[in-house]
Amino acid sequence: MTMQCRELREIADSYLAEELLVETNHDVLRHLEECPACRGEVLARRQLRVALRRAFATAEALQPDPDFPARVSGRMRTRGVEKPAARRFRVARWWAIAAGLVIAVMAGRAAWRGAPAVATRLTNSSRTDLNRAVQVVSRDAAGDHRDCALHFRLAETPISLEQAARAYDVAYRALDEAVRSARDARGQPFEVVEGHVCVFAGRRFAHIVLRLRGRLVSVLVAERTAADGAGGVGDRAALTAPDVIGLPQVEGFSEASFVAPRHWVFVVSELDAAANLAVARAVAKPVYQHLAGA
Amino acid sequence: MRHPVGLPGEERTWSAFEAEAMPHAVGLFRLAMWLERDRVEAEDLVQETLTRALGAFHRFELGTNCRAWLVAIMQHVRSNRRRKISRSPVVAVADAEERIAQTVAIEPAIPEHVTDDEVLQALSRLPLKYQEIVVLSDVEDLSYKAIAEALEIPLGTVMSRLHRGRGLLRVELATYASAHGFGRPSVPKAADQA
Repeated sequence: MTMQCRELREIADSYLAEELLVETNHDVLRHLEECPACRGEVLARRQLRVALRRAFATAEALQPDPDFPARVSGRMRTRGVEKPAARRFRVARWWAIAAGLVIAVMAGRAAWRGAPAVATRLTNSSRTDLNRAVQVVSRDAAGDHRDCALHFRLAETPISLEQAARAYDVAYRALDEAVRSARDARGQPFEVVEGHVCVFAGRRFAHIVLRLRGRLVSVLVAERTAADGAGGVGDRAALTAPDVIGLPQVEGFSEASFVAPRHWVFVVSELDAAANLAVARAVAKPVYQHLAGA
Repeated sequence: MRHPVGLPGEERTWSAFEAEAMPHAVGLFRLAMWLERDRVEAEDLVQETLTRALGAFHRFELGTNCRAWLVAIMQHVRSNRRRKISRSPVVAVADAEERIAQTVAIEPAIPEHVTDDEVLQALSRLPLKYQEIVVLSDVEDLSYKAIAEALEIPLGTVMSRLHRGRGLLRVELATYASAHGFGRPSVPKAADQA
């Protein structure tokens, strides 16, 4: 039986969302071939969806502060699972909790390093700077994973970790060994494919490539620079490794990140977000200790 | 140091939740920001939504649409807040709308050269109930059923409001474009239709 116009328009959204069964999809296509009015309607709906999604994704007024995901995540981790009926946290209270956590983390970290605890309260702007920097570097990390690990099409030829250690940063020396010392959830070491230092979009990365479940996983370490807008003692203490956070996908890649005293560390892959995060957590401690001690 | 989340089981829950739900935080914020028009309220709404979602995560079925699940929770949170604020009985939506716009008349297509800002301005001129439903469908990609559950309205109302809302939006955009001298709608061509 031929599909009617009203029938098609009721399922047109599912058609656009590619949610229809194959048979129904064929019925839609047959109807569209014969019906200019419905073709116009479906095209108009598609255009509207594209225009709205683009507008939402780009409108400045709708974007959260760059540190919003990390801030929310931090609050959730701190509070754990609570009964929803008791929950109605106002933002001011969350800020108080977050500020307390930051100070506690800083004090703990300072003690761990044997240094005097300096309870420097972070300003909102420094948090914002730090997390904006994370966003920027995470895009470069995704680009490096794509162009180096997956497609081997970097403009500059990578150099060895040892060469880079001599020329740029001693922390790169034997970084691959730190990753090799990490263990997955079953206590097994990761398969390290290679380690080198490469450059993407002007940013230098120490790049350790792992293979997991047939997929390549990049552990990328970049130096934190003043240009990132996230230098300084306060910023350094704001995100204390190995506190690993999952990031929103970038270019379809899963990402997770943590911060070392002088470096950003990103784990990027096509694994699902949970598996990618698990890798990041597994490598976090040895990589952080390696970088902090360099 | 006591672990922030506490029990190992809760830690596992958090890890799964962090991987599955937290990547949607930014998208939820955009939606909340559009609905609330206030950054503090929007952030608070997202925080409460995620907190409730974490508490109910054992009921989430992995592999299903997590974004839709979170949006539904957000709508419930908003609905509860509105009830508390108004302290007025919830009035059932008269379903006269079901009779609206059941025709297959064609609204104007989207004009060419319309900017993202103009799209949002046009959307903001729609009555709120239409804005909400257009955003849930066309931005958040929620199914009719998910929208009906989230807004607690009948499926037929979702369809009629959506049809009406899109029609109004397209008229708004066409009117705007016409008033600014670039009113030629992007007429579908045979080759690129559907």
